Amino acid sequence: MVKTKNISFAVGKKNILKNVNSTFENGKVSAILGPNGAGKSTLVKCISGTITPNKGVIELDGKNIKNIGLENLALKRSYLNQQFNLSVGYTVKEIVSMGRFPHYKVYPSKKDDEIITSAMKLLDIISLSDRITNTLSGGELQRVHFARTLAQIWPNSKEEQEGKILILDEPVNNLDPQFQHSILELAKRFAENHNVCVIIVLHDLNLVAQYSNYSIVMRQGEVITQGKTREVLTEKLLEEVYKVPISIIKNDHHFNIVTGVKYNRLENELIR
Amino acid sequence: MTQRVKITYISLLVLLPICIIAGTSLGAFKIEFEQCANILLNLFGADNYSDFTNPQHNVLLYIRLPRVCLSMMIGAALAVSGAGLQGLFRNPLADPGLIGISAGAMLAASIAIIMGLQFTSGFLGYYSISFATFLGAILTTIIVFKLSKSNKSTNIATMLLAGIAINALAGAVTGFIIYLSDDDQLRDITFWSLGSLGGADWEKVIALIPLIILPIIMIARLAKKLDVYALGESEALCLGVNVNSLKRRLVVWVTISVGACVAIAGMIGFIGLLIPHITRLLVGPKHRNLIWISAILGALVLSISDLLCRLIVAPAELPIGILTAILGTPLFLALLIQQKRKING
Repeated sequence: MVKTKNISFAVGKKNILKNVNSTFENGKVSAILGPNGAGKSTLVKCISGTITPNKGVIELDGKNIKNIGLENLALKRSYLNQQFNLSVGYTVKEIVSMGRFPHYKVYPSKKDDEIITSAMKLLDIISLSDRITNTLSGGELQRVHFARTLAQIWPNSKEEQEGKILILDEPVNNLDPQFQHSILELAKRFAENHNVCVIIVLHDLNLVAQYSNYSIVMRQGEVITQGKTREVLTEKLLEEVYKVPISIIKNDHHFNIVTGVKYNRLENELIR
Repeated sequence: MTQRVKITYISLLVLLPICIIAGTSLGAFKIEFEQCANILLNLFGADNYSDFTNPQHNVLLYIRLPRVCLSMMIGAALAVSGAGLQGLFRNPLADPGLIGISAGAMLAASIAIIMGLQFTSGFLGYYSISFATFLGAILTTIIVFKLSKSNKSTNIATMLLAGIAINALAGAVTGFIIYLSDDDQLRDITFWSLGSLGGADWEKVIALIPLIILPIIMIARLAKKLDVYALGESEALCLGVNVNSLKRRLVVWVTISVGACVAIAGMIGFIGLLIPHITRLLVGPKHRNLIWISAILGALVLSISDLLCRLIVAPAELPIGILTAILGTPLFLALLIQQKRKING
């Protein structure tokens, strides 16, 4: 479980995060949403430990992350950045293998190799294995790095329930709908089957509605509201946050959000 | 290890002794290959191999062999430093000059020459330019490194810019010193800046061993981390790499080894830039292979270049910096064009 307690982050005089209190539970997918510049990416960077907040504490299973060494943290938490550096010349397999870096000393073990192959199979990139990454399309590269991120916190056994942390910053950018759904489905499976705490920054509200258990809505560096996705996300709140017409279509089985249109239930038609 | 990497290792390791033999037997003073072998066998206690003259024995053992050793060590150190810095800057165009090592060394050497330090008596006099150069290289790198620090972390982009600024400043001051110098000093400074392995002797080889071998081993030990660092700084951090310590360690080892090389042989360009580049084309970007193969290839290329310097205008000698640049530039351009074609399909 990850908790942020009163964290603030500023660059110069600009406050990017203001006293953010949030909780992310194991075994659940938590989505962070909000308009551009709300501080979502900054929040996940703080949680991942790549930047240090000016104020406040981030706790991982009750322990301040400052006190968990970098190397130990790397065994528990993986983070997929919004942008990738072009690692010129490395092959797909080499990039995915780097996900296992915290787990081996000199050469990857047989187990590491198995994990690397499984992660590549899961993301359907086995056929790209020997391709140089700078020749890949944006979507392919995204899947390669997602495979690397998964390989880093891959469960040691089928039954493992250790509660690792998977942080994804806009993981479905560049992806077609098929892979958008398959990646989020995978993240959800990791959460449900292995008690992983999944934290996702997502812009697509419909995907948030379909895949996340919890939602944290941010605006201008502050958390406006947080709680169970179905309860927290209302048309009124989202319209206020995003300033566009929003329709929520839900029943016991479905929960969908459509942006840019209003759904007239009486007439059963969409109004722009 | 892939087939390609194995083949590269084997072929380079086969070429290494060939280079040593060529480097020791060829030159203005003739020593046949057979005599060369005899001298070496004699050295290791085989007394019946004595078909050589005393001058041949002395030239081989006290002039050529140390020179070949020196060129190989310096070639390896420059290439490995280049490979390390290219990893750190995540840019294949980086070389040790970028963080101010060469400019600082050049400035210090110019100051030492114009002050006539080499004419002071004793041990310190003889090695004064080397000491000054080494200090100059280390001081400028420390300045560049300090300038690029903010909030306890080192910013690589700032380091690059600080390096460029310090390079320019040191260059200007060197220019001013050259303006002040008389004809002899000017000649000394110019020749120093073109690099030479002419003064090689066993003392220098022995002095260089710890300053070169240790940094190569230490840089090679950072290989795995440099691979992860290629993903980006925050990715490396998330994978458990202490990025600041990596930068600091790399810069320290590079500065020591390059500083020592420049102190002994003056400025030798292009090895640090080109060798890692060629190695990357041969065996790919993974740093474990990149660093070790760069070391061997650097040793080979610099010893061959030095041999050519001695042969081309024999019995005189070309400054080695000229040759590495003349050979290096077209090769480098060819690589760039090839790469461009590859990208354009």
